[in-house]
Amino acid sequence: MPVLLEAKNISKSYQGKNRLFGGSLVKVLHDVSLQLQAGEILAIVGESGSGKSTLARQLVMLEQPDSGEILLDGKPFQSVTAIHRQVRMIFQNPAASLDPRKRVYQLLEQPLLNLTGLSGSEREELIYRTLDQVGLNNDQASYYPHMFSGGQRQRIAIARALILNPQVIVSDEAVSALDVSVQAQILNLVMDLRDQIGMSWLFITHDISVVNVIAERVLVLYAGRVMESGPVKEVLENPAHPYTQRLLQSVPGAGDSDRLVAVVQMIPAAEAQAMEYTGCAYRHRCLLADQQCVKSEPPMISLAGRSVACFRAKSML
Amino acid sequence: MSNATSVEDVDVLTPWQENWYKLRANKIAIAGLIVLMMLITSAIFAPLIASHAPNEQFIDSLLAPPFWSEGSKAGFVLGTDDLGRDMLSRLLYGARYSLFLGFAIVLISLVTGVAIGALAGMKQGITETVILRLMDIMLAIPAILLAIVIVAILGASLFNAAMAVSIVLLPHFVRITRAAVISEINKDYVLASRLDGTRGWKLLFRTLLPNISAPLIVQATLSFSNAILDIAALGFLGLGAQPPTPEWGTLLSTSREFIETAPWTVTLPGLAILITVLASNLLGDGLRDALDPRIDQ
Repeated sequence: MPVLLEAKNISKSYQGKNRLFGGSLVKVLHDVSLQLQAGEILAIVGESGSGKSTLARQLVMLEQPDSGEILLDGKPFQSVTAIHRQVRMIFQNPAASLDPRKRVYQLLEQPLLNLTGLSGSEREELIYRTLDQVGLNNDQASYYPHMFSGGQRQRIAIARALILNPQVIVSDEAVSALDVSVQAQILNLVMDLRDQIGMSWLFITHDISVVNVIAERVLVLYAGRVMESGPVKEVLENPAHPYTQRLLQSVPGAGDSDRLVAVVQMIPAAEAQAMEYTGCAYRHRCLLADQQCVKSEPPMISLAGRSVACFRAKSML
Repeated sequence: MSNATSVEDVDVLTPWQENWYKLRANKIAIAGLIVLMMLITSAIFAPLIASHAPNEQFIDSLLAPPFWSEGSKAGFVLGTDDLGRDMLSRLLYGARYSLFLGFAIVLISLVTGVAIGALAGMKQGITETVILRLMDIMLAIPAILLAIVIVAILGASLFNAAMAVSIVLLPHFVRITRAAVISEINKDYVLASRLDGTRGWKLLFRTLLPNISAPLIVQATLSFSNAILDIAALGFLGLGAQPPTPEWGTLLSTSREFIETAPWTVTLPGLAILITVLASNLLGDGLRDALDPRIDQ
């Protein structure tokens, strides 16, 4: 399958909180690379503070990465409007991402007005057709977002992403704020839409069980670095990275032990990012870490159908 | 696909309608609103209501007391002043000055304040610092003193007094707008709006302003009473409207020597100011309660 969206060695730093003597730079993304193929759903997993949302912000061009480049269809990002038309984003909490002062119709019309040259009747037709696609009826176009339930609101947010017929949709924890039953509906909708329309979907989540259901490939992020990436089947059934294994063990029903293993917070992820250290980012928490892991950062290697950044990967399998 | 009715026709409460229902439940605020409406109506129809022209003198009835006192004269319901001018007519025409100036001043400070505050909130960095420090300096000087200084520079006239009061009220709007813009600008719905291609002034007017209008409306209502007070104070000090303009503050000042012999010449303009300021403050408080998102739902 052709590669649709490609990120090459993306790095991003933020100015730390302004303390008395000026904040220090906090590097949130370290040379992150990913490839999104046409028509696939790629899941990005990782705990809070691993840089998932930051990565999403770079990919939809809400922010500019410090270094590295992002290619769409093999071409670098040029005009912001073109990118906003082709790469759409869905936010975590639909209650916060829908303007409370706008009717659904106005919310859906906004991208059409700003980014396309469609006439009024074309816009109207498209808005009603998109509402239909996400399972909302025409009358609901007049309502304000607060009149909907959480699941319906996320449908509106999906409609807003869908309406420009984009090539890529980036969803940042799109089902995390929803009830489990509603989650299932939205996940089904996502898979139906992908099958019907065939856009690629970058699905950011912290929920491994969701990844199993929805995605073809998965990318595991820790402290702003890619730990492991590959087909969901290989990576989740047979993790080659100690961190992936830990993540799996912390999911109810996914690990092989009868007790859940909490991801050990010896050093909080946010602090681990700010710290100066050498070697592997995960070595502070890793049970397998030795001198080699302290000395140098493990390179990304190909192993058993996936890419993994760990010196111990072979012994993990 | 499309219905015969347009989106606006479907019977759904707009946010403003909801706020109006909330405000309507507040009896005191509605009382303030009604009093203000009556004042505005009487100011607009002053020529029809007033029995005399505001500057018409009746030499045979100087300092005639109002109707409830002994020795009142027919035709002068609220008495006359030292030059034999009908108090009621002067107050009615004076309402035109006070209310119109109040609106004009609030409008000027609101528009410029929102523009400057939004610039500070959206640009941040050095622009923000410069704007904020300037506003801090303006806030550090007592309002009336600052107004006096500005009038002293510009010269004493009603127009200059209005300009001075607009400048005095400006920092409040700037600070409120900046704070509101900063608290909203990184929220998801604003980011989503940017991803929908809305940016620059469009982002401010279409996305931000509708969501931060509540504190601005409250501040505008409260500033309205401040503007009327400040204009009256400048008039009283002889720096605003000049006699024989029947502006309320000027009425107070020209008749203050008669406070013992003819108290109505001083009390009535004072009362007019008091009622107007009280009414708009009551409305402002009611609006604050109705629009405050923390009391929402």
